[in-house]
Amino acid sequence: MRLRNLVILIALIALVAVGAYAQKAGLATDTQHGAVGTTPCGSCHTPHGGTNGVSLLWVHSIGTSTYTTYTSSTMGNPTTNITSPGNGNLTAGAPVNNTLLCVSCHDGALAAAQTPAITLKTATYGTAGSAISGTAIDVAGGTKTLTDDHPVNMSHNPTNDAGLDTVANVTAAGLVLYSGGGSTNTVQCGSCHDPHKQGPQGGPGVGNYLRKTNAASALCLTCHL
Amino acid sequence: MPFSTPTRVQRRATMWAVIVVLFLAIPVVAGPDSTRAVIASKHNLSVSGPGPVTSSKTDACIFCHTPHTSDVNTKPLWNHALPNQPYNTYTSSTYNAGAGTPASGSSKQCLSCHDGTVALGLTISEGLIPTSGSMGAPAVLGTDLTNDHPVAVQPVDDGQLHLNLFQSPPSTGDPSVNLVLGKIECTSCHNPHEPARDAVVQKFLVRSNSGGTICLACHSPSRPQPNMLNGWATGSHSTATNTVPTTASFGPYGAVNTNACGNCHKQHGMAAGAAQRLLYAVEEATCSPCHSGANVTPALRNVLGEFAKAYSHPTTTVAGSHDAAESVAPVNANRHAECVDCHNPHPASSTGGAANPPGVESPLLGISGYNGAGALRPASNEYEVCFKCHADSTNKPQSTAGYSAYGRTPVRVTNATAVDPYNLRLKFASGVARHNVSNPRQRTAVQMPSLRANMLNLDGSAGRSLAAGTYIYCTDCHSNNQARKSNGTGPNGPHGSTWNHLLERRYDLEPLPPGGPGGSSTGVPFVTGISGTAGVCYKCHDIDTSILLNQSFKEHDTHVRGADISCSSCHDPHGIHGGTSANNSNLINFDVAIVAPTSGGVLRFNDQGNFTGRCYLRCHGKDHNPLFY
Repeated sequence: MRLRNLVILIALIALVAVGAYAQKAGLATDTQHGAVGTTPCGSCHTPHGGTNGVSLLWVHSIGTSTYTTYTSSTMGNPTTNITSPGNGNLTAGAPVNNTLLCVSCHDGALAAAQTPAITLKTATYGTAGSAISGTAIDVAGGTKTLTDDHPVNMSHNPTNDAGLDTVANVTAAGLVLYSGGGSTNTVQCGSCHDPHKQGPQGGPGVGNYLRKTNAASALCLTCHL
Repeated sequence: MPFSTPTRVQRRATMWAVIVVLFLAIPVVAGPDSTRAVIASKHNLSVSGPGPVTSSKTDACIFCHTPHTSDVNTKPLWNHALPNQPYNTYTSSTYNAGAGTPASGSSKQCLSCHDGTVALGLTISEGLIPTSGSMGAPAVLGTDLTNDHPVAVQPVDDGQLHLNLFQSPPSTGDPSVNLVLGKIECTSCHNPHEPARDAVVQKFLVRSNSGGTICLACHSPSRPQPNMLNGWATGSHSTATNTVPTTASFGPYGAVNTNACGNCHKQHGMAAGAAQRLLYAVEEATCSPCHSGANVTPALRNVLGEFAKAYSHPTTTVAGSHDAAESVAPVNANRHAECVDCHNPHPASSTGGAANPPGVESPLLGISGYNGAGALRPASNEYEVCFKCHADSTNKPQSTAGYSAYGRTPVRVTNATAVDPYNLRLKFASGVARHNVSNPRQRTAVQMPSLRANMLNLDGSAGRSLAAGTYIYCTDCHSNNQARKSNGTGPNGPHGSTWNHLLERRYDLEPLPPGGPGGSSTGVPFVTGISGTAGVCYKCHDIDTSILLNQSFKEHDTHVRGADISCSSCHDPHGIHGGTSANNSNLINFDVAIVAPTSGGVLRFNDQGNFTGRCYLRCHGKDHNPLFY
């Protein structure tokens, strides 16, 4: 390898590393995601002994559940219910994993089942101390409902819904669409939320772990033409 | 080291930051269904909202939608507390889609603010978000929706609605106007995110309603008769380019053709008495803002002013009797003559169509009629419109002795034997003698030497041809004394006239003889001409050089000028009902208030052939027992 190329490669590696650090640095002062475990990262990730078969060295267990997603007659892109087949069976890289990782705490049932149990603190979209999705989540039964929440696990395809902006515009504007496992450009929790950026008081970010400010509904209107 | 040279990594990071910023700066181009337009609308209740109601909240969507903890039963992601109100809903005598239940459809989401019962900031996910300001009065519909276009209803075919509504799946005739689960809801006409698709009206309409396009998506003039809307496209109210004010009661667009439906109808908040069919006002008050000679440029003729004349149809004097669902004919009780009894404002036109009697002229297009057999929707002939009240009605005021609202009503000899003496349908159907209103002219010029080739207009110019086989209109005789079709200065038609019996021209009846019928009388001193004492007859009959020259009846001059006898004393102008050819030819049917039986008790005319006959009567004190000619 020529020296110049080596320099460029090293520079690129350094860039990625710096970017990654910048992305996650907020966890150090994160009073929510950063304060669940014994270390900020340890709230969700572990370098050793992660949940078998779950990507991202995930520390939490994920039960066998079906999450019923929101539907409506006016949606051009249908949602698909999210079925977690249980530990060890998640397909690495499947886009639904993003939402499953989140609901491993935020469905309100699994959070309490963690060791130690996790109590959700936010009251923004529900009752403090319970699930983020409030009473609409069936915490007792085997079926979990996300039917009062913005649909997840559906493709963002403007061809099917003229009310959506293009994938290019949406991703350029800072939101994330997840592909993999046979699906492309799907909306998941992580489309709007970045779990590493609590903000505003806890570090970089705009609050509620949103990927961008929702002043004047800018986040909503990123997708919705 | 505040001025140190940036490292390569720092420069690279800066470059990426610039790229990201550039991406973020890509302008948002609104699509055809621009939710984003809500930010610049009154529906943005956030701190950035431009409307009367705002809050300190930075998120605009949250007042209606939430990404989490929405009302699970209400889409899309509904977040505003819903009302729990019963609503009074629209009804009308011609409305058949049933009572809507706004409390069960998507319209209740709109009503959760617009019925005025729920705090504007009361959300499901965040509870009450304090707001300041209040909605404008027109935006608060209240819980009484009886004066609003129905919502939460599935259209029912009444012959006037677009056929697409009854297909499976149903749709409207316009892709911009949509049903919600098969029903008309607020969002059929309004898009809550886009305030100005109709740049003039705003009000979040789903498209421009200029020309009534939103209304016409469902209300279809294409459906055939008896659809009241049929013919709309060529009617004056959809084509006239006259300008009108944009203030209340005229519609928002500034011209008749652009206001279209909105010339007369309003979708919300009309006066309670005018709520049926969503009109601006009640009865003639709907028409008067434009048809009183004011407000319209170029100005329209003052039709409403006609009703102030000495003789007029009871349009402005009778209220509350007309109903659009009423039986077409005959009108018995509740006699009335509202504008819409003679005019269908949808196809009616001031200019279209050539006059071709007896066919209805363009102002009467599409109105119902009656011909003795039953209702006609629409009437083909003008007389059928008049027959709704002036034929088989059992409540004709002329049947009441002494009725004189339109001048004295002559009582004829044949009244004694006629089944229904004032039934004009029967009179014009006479096999004995009649004016050619519902049957064509059959008499020859030889039989009727006085008949002109053409009617005389008010200015003396030649009017329509009176050739063999032609008809005349009721309105050739009964009309405005300044009817424009006779080259007058006013509107056409029998709205009002200065002349008795609502005639276009003068037609003097003799005063009652002081000594009773048959007695001497001052009569009617004859004045000839278009404006003379028999002006209405003079229009078609050459009095000067035929009648007074005794071309038909050799004693005409003796009677008319010599004894001041009026035409009406001997002739029954409409037609002979109940008489015979032997006794009532040439429309001879004496007015028994003027003409009395002979001293021998006989009151009769005997036809003896062309221009010959015998009269048995006593008149002006002179006994004819009989007199021959």
